[in-house]
Amino acid sequence: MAGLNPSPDTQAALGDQVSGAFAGEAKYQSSKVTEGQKAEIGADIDFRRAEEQLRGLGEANPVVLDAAVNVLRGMASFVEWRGNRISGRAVERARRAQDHEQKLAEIKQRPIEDAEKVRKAEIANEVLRVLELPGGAYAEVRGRSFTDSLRGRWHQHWADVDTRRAKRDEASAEGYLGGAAKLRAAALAVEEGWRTTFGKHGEGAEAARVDAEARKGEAAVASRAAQEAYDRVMAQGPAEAIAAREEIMRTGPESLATQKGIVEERTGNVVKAATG
Amino acid sequence: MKTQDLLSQLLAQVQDDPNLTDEVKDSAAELIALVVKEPTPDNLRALAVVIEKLGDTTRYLSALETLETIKATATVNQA
Repeated sequence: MAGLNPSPDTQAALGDQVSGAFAGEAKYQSSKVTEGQKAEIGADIDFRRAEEQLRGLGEANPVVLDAAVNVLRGMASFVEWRGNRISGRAVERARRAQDHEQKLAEIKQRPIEDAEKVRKAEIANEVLRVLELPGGAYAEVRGRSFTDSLRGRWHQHWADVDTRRAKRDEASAEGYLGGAAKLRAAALAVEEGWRTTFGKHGEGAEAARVDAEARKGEAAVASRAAQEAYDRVMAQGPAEAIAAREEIMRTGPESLATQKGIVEERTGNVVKAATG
Repeated sequence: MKTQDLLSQLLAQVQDDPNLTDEVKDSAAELIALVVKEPTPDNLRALAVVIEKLGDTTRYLSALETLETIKATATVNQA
């Protein structure tokens, strides 16, 4: 059997890959939480020690040893690739969790003005809880505190609404008082106007009354003149005067003015008939 | 169990491992095939070293994933 004698290139490649496999370790050194555990687990793999063990197998077939080195190299690449992927996924998960925390904080900063916003905020908090992201329990506790805060704002909101309504009612009462004063003033104005108008009507009525009295006097004078003319005609006995009298009687009680006109007209006709 | 039967089982186990890449599976299969042809004590020891590191690697990655999850949680809780 040939002893272990991998080619210099293979040994160099193996060394590079082993170093590369643990290059990711440096990324985690800053984490005080996992540094100790990772160093302990990483020591268990220890590709360098595996390489030394292979070199110590003096009776192994060099082809087998090269194949073994090749497997170790593939595993080293796999560890590096998978380690980076796990690390990246963890970083992404942490970023997403922090993003949710940030959004939660932003929601908390926003003023809550109505019930719809309160409902949406509670739904967002519930989504955070259901997602079960890392830090979910923490987010839930924060969420409960946040919900309490929202409830406080909710009650404050309705207290403000009540205050606004009270002020509005007060303003309405003042408005009603002002309106009542205006109505009262308007009523006084209307009353004054009514008195004025009534007075005018009273004056007009008095004037009309005086005018009517005057017209009545004139009508009486005319009536007497007509009666005298009639009497004269009757004394003479012409048939046309008799017809005129009957016409006057048939006309009946009309207004004084109209009657006066008719009397004057008929009287004229009578006088004209009597004298003509 | 004969050595060749044991190596055949080992080959099947490696090929069915969902946590390994095709590259690792192929190179491991090549190594096992060589050892099957020439199952000398040192060749078997060389294969044993490799298989042991294969198991350590899988365990390491599993632990790494768990620890990264813990770290992500701790990062959020510290925020």
